[in-house]
Amino acid sequence: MLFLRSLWKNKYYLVLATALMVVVSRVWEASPLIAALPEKGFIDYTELFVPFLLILPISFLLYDNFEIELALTCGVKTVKLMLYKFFSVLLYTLIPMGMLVVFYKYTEFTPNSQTKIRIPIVIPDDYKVYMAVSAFVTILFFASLFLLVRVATKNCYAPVGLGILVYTIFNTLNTNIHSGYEDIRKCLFDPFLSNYFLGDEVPVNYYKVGPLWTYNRILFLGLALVMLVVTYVLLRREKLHQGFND
Amino acid sequence: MKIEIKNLTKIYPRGKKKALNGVNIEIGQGIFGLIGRNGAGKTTLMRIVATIMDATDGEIYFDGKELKANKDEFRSSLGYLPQSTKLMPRMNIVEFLDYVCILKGIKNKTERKEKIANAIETVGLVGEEKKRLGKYSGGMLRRAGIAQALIGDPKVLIIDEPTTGLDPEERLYFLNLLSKIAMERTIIFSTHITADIEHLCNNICVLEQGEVKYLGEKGAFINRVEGKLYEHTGTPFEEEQLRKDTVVTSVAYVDGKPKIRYVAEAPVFEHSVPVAPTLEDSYIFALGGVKR
Repeated sequence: MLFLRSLWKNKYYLVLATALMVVVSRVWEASPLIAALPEKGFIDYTELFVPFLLILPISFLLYDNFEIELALTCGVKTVKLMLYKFFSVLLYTLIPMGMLVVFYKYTEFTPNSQTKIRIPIVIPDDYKVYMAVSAFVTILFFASLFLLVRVATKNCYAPVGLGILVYTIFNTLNTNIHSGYEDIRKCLFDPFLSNYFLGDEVPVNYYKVGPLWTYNRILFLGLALVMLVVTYVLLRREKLHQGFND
Repeated sequence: MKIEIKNLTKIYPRGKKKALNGVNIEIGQGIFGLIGRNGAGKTTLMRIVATIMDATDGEIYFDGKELKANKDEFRSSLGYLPQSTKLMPRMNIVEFLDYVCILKGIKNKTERKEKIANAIETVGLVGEEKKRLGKYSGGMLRRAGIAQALIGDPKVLIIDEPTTGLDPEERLYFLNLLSKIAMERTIIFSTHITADIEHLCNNICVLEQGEVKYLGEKGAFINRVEGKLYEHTGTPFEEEQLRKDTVVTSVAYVDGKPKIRYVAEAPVFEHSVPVAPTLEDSYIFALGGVKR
């Protein structure tokens, strides 16, 4: 019942998420999230943009301390309340993603700028599976990161700030590496770039580092799971109810 | 429902002082008044009883059952109105109460409608259904809060400082409403306004710095200063002397002269007049006198 209510209440997010995804993946030419190759385009925006789409609603979930207290006194635990809300947002993010997968599969992609940097990237034969796993891990990583920050800081603005910071780092590092920048110290935060750490030498062609990228995802998956557990423990201890001050 | 609070202590993780220190209270049917200064521990105590927060030490029992082990059962008999006055500003009262019904596990739509209509009627908000809660006055918001607390017909109502910021008319309306819904219920009502307690409660508890300063009947509490309370109109010098030698419960300047109420075994000045104590006099006396 609560989940259905949450779905109904968040229905506008579906429209918003769809519109934003279409705009970002097809129109927003200047964005580094867009690539020339069709598969790359999708991978790229699932890497960064979809998690980012999840950040804002997740950050503002449980904004209302009154609602949390009310739910608790009605016998609905905070974790349950949060999950109902989170899953409705997640669903409304995944629906347009699915739509775009179909869109990419059955329509010819025409890059709207030939001058844009072309980045050869890992696209194994079974790239759809690979892409889905990769996107899932990234989303999970970002979602757990923001949930943890949200709960630990009892503040809904902190994860948004962190989101902008992480996004900026990703963006800068990506741009740097695309320009041939090779300072290994700056590659720490970037899932693409940390390939350098895992390989013996700086790879010339990203096609060769597919398996390494997968190891990288395992690392991210592990981190995400740890953060989810910590978030769960914090919520279980009902730390949240001592006031958000936001 | 009978609620027993035994040796309850709360220390906040980063707090140096105890927010509650060995509190023992027994609460029976009717309206129980919890009074104390801001920061005395009233809200902490209410949040612990409302199962929103855990105590550091001590136990709570309801009808002989331990609260911690039977949270769900207690919550099914609980209505809670927190101090927050915001509620959910973007909803109207029907949407808000419908959400509360869903939270309380009422799945049947017809049943929800019926409960919502009853609650709205009880708190006198008929005709205000379409207005968003954000547009409600303070008094209307408190009534909407009571309406949500009444959903599910709870046996226990916990109401945290509901009259703060209300104008006199709204306050009286609200207090009358509380006395109306108090029948066959246990209501724990906190405030720092003594007049609210005077109006509503027979049994009270005075909290100060996390400790119980008084627990018992309101009448007996007032009688603690019976025959010891005097009023004196004098000079600032005399005021100083009274502040030093007695417990001053109020000072009001009239025509430039201080009019002082004080508690002492015998009048300090000849022309001090014995007066009948109010709850406020007793309360201030229990707190150690009025601040400057």
